[in-house]
Amino acid sequence: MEEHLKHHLNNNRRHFLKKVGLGIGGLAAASMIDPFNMFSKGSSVNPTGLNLPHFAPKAKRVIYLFQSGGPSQLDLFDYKPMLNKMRGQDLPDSVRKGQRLTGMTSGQERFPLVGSNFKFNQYGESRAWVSEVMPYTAKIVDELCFIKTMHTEAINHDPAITFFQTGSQQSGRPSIGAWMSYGLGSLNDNLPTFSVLLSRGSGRPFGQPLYSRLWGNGFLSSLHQGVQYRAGKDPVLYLKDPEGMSRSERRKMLDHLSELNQKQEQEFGDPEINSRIAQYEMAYRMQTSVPETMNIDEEPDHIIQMYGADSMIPGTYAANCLLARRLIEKDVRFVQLYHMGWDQHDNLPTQLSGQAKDVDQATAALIMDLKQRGLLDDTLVIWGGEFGRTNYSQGALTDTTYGRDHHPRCFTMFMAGGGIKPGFTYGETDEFGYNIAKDPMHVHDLQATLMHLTGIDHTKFTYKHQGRRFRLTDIAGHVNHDILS
Amino acid sequence: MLKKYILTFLIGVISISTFANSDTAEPSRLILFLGRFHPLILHLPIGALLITFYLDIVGRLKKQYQHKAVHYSLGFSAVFAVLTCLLGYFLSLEGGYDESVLDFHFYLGFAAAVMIIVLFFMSKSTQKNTRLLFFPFFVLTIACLSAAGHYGSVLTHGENFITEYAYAPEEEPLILEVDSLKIFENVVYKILDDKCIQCHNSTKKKGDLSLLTKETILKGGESGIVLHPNDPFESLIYSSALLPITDDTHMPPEGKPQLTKDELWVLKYWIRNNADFQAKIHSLPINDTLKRIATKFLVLEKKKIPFASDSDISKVQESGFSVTSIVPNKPELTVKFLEKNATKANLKKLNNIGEQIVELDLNNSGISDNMLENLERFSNLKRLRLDNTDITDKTLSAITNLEDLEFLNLYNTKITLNGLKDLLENNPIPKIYTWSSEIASSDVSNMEKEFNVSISNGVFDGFVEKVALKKPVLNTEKTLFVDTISIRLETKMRGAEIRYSLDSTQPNEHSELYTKPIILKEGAYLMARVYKNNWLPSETLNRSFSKIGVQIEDFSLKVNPDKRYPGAAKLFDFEEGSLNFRDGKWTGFNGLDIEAIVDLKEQKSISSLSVNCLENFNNYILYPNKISLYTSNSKQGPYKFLGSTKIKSLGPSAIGHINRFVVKIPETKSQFFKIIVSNPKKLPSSHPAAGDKPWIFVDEIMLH
Repeated sequence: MEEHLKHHLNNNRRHFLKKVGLGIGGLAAASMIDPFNMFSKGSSVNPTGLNLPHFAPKAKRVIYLFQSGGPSQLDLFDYKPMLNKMRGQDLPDSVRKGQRLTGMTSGQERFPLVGSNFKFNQYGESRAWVSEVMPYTAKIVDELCFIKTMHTEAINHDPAITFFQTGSQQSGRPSIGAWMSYGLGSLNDNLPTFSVLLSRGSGRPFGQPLYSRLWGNGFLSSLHQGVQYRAGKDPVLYLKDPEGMSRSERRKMLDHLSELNQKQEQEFGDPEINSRIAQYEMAYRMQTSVPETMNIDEEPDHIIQMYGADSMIPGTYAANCLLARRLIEKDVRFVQLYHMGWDQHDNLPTQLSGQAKDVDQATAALIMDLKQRGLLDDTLVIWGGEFGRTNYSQGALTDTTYGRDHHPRCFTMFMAGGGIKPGFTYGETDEFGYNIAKDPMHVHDLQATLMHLTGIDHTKFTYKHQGRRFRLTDIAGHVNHDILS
Repeated sequence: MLKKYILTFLIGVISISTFANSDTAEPSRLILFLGRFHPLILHLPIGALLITFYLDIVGRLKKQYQHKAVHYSLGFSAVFAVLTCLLGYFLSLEGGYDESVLDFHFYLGFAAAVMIIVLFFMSKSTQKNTRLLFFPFFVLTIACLSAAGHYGSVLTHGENFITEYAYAPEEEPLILEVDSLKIFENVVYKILDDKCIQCHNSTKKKGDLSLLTKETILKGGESGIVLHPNDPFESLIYSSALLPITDDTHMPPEGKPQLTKDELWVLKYWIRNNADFQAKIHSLPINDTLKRIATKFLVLEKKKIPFASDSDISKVQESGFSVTSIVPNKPELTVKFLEKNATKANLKKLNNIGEQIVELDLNNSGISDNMLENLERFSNLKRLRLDNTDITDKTLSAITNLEDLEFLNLYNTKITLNGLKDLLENNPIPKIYTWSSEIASSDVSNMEKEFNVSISNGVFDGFVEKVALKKPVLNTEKTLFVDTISIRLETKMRGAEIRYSLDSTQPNEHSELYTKPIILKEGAYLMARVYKNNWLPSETLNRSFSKIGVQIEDFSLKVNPDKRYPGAAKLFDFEEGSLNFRDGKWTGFNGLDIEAIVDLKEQKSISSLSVNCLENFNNYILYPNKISLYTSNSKQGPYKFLGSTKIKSLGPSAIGHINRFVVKIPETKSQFFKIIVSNPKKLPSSHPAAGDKPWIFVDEIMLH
């Protein structure tokens, strides 16, 4: 038999069995789970067909402001006067308890404690501590919920970021935004459900790069991968028509291509063909919707002033914050920003001031801008990095400068908006800022809580792949009810 | 013979019972062990009795009465009936059962056993009277046994085990008086009732503990007090649920429905907060975690909403709305208008699904007053977005009756203070957004207090400050030139001006305005700033542009730069690198000196050499320690020393520094020069990798 015919028959039989089996089995399962609703309200009001959300969501949209590199909690939010008092003295073994260090400081002979060179003050009705490098954040602490006791298992950048984004230190799982796109579907058919924006920090402009797999779809359909918007002429690559091709020609081409693809789909039944058709159509719609969204000319001067002068410079964090707001206004489900350069191994005071200047005003502006538009009520904003930094100096400690190594045991993040308790601080670290004293919150807990806010029970939201059901929180994670409003 | 057996048996029973009843309070473990077999054995006499009854009836009907079979099976039943009684008695010694029900079960069971024995003897009799009585007595025995069995089931499964599903469940009572709800009565007790009271009640008091009332809870049980206010972990009522499921004292026992996480939270919080039996939920602060979780357990005025019909939904979808169920298979819908030109006809379509719409998003939909007339149909509406439309107070008056409304977005509309006041007087909607409407910020805070609502009217005063603009961007990469150079400046800030000077004076708002590229014929020092109304001027951009006479085109290097930072020609291209040593403009040498011979093609007079170097201590990049210049009459040499400059490394504080080092020499006329840039060869002791080979990075070598 000819090879292609064999392939054809094979596919038919396999797909037939699969379809029939799943069909009958699915019907049976549906009737068992919910006999009264078996033939009830279906597709048109439940586009994903996944029976999600599990309950009414508090947050419909999410903005994740990822601070890549590991911002120093000790110089931004977690005020530890003890470290200033004991500056230069060795980190007591009773505090370190033999915890592993990175290769960058494990060879150090001494671990001299170092308090922040920045002044701290308490702000707002919530009396939250904020360092002087974050003056705008300090003004809005009553909108924020600080988590002082985040902790992670990874100690180096890539596994730690991958852990935060996908729930696993090994790459290959879908990113949070991809899970959201898969589970909750799109709120706007003209823009990608999972949008990604990158910026480099001015404190450490040549730090580690990021990889696109961080916003990848893993084993989910490629429809759900994050789409990166770039600064410059082509915000989304390969979106423009080639020179000399008109939009109507493009339309015709897509129509014919879609016909061919549909034929192919009928023959082979491969669902990936359908997602390909959908992606071509999405790209076509994006040809007009993306430039419209990226054009900040219509933003009035007072908004530019709110986000700061950087917001007019494409590719900066401030510009990305402004774009994030524009995307959220257009009901994009998940907007992920990455701001690089928070890896202050040395010369922390100078570098951190630069980093903080990049993000402080724009982050606060984003939150307040969402609020005045009534969007913060159902938009969750998350700010934080992949781990914290050590309470001892990496490299030489002088009066004016020091560095800090990676520290996974405790670090600070903050959240605001949809369903989060405003003006609240959760958890405490010990007086050395090294260990958690009260109420820890693990990365999986954060992911579970994020999902909870979007209406998903993280233990029930799974995807079967290679014989195993996977979830974002793997086999762990608890919803942190204390930080919910 | 038979009497002998019965006697022995009875003596055995009595002796064991007395042994069990002796002064030692605890029955022996063997007795308790045997007692647990009661539920196993008890089905044997019942089954045997029923099959005998069946044989009896069939025998009578078929006229083939199996006397022997009836007799033997009654004997079987009798023996096990007695055994069951005995084991049942043992089981009762374990305690924890309601005494009165237990008594019933005991006496009825005992009576049934006796009656089965009597039946056994009757079945053998041939007397006529006995034969006549046999059947009615059999029926009576079965009745007695059934009664005993029923009370047995009450003991193990609770009173309404059988009838529980016989009737429709009681409707959850709707709670209308929220103010009077108590944490214990309406929440904690509900949890106990669900998960604990089945075994810990007045009928079945496992561990001598009943959780039915406040008094019995406080009394505790066998293990002592189970509730210690303020100390959940000491309180068995909570802590035993935290034990590993395999632990014998874990509650509820393995196999029974366990407490959920939320339930545990409530229990813990309640105990931690003084385990107050009277506290009202209302008294807790609004964002108290207990309050939030507790409310989940309450059935608060939940209206039952019917499903919208598919045809109504698709009509709405066809007229430009997206319609999605908030939670699949629930009737509540969220609806959004997807276009920008809503008409009255579009909105009319919504009326048929008005009851189901919980969220309605008409932001930027182009609606105006008059379009929203039948708003009162949306009786379950919780969130309404009317922002970015032309609606006025007129539409607000249509919202007055929407009592469930929690969220109203009126940002960028034409509503006024009076309109909002009228609305709030009738309907104090908790969250309102009014930024960019006709309402002034100063009026909002009073209204918030007056109606106890939250009104968001833009950012607070003082949030936005006058801040500095960004420096102009220099779009000319070269700062060195031979003839002329064109300098291009740019600012991304729209409407901003660039002012500049070329004479080393600080530019101000009256300085030269940049409009087109600046052409330089001579070297100059450029200073430029950005200006705009309402902004502070930017920092100053400083850059010096130098004209140099000598362009080096013919050169040879003794060693080539490292493969990672290649390009010997870049040393003489007039393009300077940035602080990023990977920017492609730098050439790097790892542990090696740069030794270059240049041929100027003709004799030129030279008075200095300059070399641009980078130091980045943490990245192993140091300044060279010496730069020397030599000259010769021929390419091959010998070369004569002209001058040199020694350079010191900046050390650990150097994150990235660029410097142009100059070697001044007496003016020399020559065609061939040799330049040596010396690598320090070893990283200093202050470096973590002291002793390793350092890099030197050079982007430009120039002769002047």
